[in-house]
Amino acid sequence: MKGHLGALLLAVLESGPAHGYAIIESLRNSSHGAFDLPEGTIYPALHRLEATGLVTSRREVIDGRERRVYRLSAGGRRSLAESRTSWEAFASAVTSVLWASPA
Amino acid sequence: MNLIDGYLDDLASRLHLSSRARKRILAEVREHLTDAASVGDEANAVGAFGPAAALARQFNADAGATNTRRAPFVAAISAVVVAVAIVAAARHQSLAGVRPWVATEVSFFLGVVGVQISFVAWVCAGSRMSAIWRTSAMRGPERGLVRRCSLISTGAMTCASLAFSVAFILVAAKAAPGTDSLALVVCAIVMPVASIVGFELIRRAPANSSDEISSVEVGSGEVARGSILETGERALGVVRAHPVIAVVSTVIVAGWSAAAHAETSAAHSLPWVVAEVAAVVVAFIVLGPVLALRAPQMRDSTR
Repeated sequence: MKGHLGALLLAVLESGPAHGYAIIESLRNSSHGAFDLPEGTIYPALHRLEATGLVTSRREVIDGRERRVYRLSAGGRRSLAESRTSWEAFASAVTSVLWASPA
Repeated sequence: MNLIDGYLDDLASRLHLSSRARKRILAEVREHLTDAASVGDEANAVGAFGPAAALARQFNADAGATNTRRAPFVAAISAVVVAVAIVAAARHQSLAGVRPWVATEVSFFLGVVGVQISFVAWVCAGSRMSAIWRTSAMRGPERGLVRRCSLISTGAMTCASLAFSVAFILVAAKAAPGTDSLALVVCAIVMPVASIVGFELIRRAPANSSDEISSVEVGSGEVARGSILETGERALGVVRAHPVIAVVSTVIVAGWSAAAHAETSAAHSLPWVVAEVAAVVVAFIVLGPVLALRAPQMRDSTR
């Protein structure tokens, strides 16, 4: 998880705009509860992603209530693609070492 | 007061941010807790959200990092405005045809010392900032150091501006009334105003150096060892490793420069050379530890 929260949030937002509560719900469901973070943790991370231009946000009325909704930006899509590539390379390397046959 | 209001009050009291940023965060947290409480109860919602203190630390550290990145730029912009005003004032001083005398020379000397201190402090701030620019999580002590150096830089520039202002106003008072004396007065006002504005902008933007970003977010974007961004830090590392050599070298250069610019005979320039050398030594002794030029406190802290 260390250093990957941003990428996880970008991945959640890839399926569409969402507000903070929906994002943490989606993260929890996608990971089958594996990421048991304090829910508040995602907000500083979302603000950081917004500050670096990877997501955008604006206030919208959803179900009769005003919420701040986050969207993936073009830069966020590129960053997500890069994160996936580097993660695949990392996971592949770890897998090949862990499952390597003894010589 | 319900649990959510109590949590938000606690969070609000811990956030060291602009009122706009604080308002946005509190609104978002309220929305989240209200959603969570609607499918369970307030106690569970607040409990799952995590401690207000931990959340506030995250936001404070992020805001501190942003403020820290800006501080050397604010100091630089303020210094450029002061420099332009000094150059303009010096030009009008020569056009006014007033020869300098002891009072203006002393003011000018104090101004030069202030500029030198300001420059050294800015180099310390800029080199540290450059070295940690791309780190995903700037550590609190590093944010504190960059802000402190930026404050010292603009503070010294303010003192220098005031000294130059006194010199230029004295010249304007002696010059014949006209556009040159008016320009001198305008420059004498612009200099301290620009440096005070810079100082205040940095002072009002806290580095929140006692707050750290959670380990969850640390882990990427560190500056590679040997990066060009660390050039300034490597140079300052030489000063830290050899303080006596650094001071002696600076004393020689500063003393020679004072003699060359005293615009008088070698014998008469001696007091300025002695004063300049004393200023360098005293500044290094007093400000060296504050700027992390002498103390080992910031060594290897870019990792």
